[in-house]
Amino acid sequence: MANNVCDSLIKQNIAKNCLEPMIQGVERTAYIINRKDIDFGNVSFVEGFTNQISALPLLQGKKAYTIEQYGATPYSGSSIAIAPSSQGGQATSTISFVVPSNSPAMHENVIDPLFDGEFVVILENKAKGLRDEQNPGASAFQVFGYWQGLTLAESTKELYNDETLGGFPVTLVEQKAPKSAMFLNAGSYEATKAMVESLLVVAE
Amino acid sequence: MTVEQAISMCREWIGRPHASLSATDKKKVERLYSDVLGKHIRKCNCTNRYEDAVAEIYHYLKRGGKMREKSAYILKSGVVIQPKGSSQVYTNDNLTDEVAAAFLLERPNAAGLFVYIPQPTATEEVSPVITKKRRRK
Repeated sequence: MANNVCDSLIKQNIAKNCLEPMIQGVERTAYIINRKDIDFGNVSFVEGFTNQISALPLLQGKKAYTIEQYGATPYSGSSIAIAPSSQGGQATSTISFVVPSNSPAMHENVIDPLFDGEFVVILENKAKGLRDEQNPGASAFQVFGYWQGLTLAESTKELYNDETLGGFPVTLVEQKAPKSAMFLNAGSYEATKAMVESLLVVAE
Repeated sequence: MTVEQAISMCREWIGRPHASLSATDKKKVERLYSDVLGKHIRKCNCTNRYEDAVAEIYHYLKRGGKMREKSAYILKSGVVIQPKGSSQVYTNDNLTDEVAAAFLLERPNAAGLFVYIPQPTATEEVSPVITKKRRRK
């Protein structure tokens, strides 16, 4: 479906898919990438779409890392806010998670790099759109931080917080992104899942 | 590594409990699992996943299995290939030279999705775009 994405015209009916109703929430495993490790020159998109990435190659020697969260509402506090602007609108994405470890290695390798790094996070939605007629499975893997990068918002660790149990809550924010959402779609849910998992392995 | 060497490595590990495997041993098991079976050890917190992996490798090779033939082509992380008309998805775990070459013939501008593209043989049909990328390498 070819779209002139700059014409600000609605091109689809607004209704739910009764074959697969909306479900809130995301899966417990997410993926985080150092944004500078993405090979932007070779990122490819699904034909006819500006928000579906069909290949997200990383630079040689680089890999993504997993984020594991626990409980019934992982990444609670995460959100997307959209607002108009004179140049076409802006989206602000917020990703919240708890680093469930206070080890020196976790501080050295994860928390300290958050101070000034830029990141891309992939969440897997529970509403995967597996029965979507046009793009089955294309709703599953959503990308945050692709355009501007996710950067650290001020985060505070409370030693006696019952929710975090001494873990470090982290909030990453992407501001002024030009799209309301970005997705990964390698052609099917299975292919996209394989693509996401290949991010975790250094290609050699 | 030969099949005999791989079996010999497995014999060192078989029967050893998870806790006795050092971090180095675990890395070796992961590498061997990938080299022999072309896939990765399951990601879970199961304490016996390395023991299971060693047993799986050992029995596969004893049943006449061969070491996995790795493709000479290497995809970048974050890239999969799904040939037109096929539901099979290829990653570096299961990519073959034939699939990679056919993919590049069909989509010569996709060379940037590969970390490495081998030099062509004398009879191999190659797109000029790929030839140019190889020369730059």
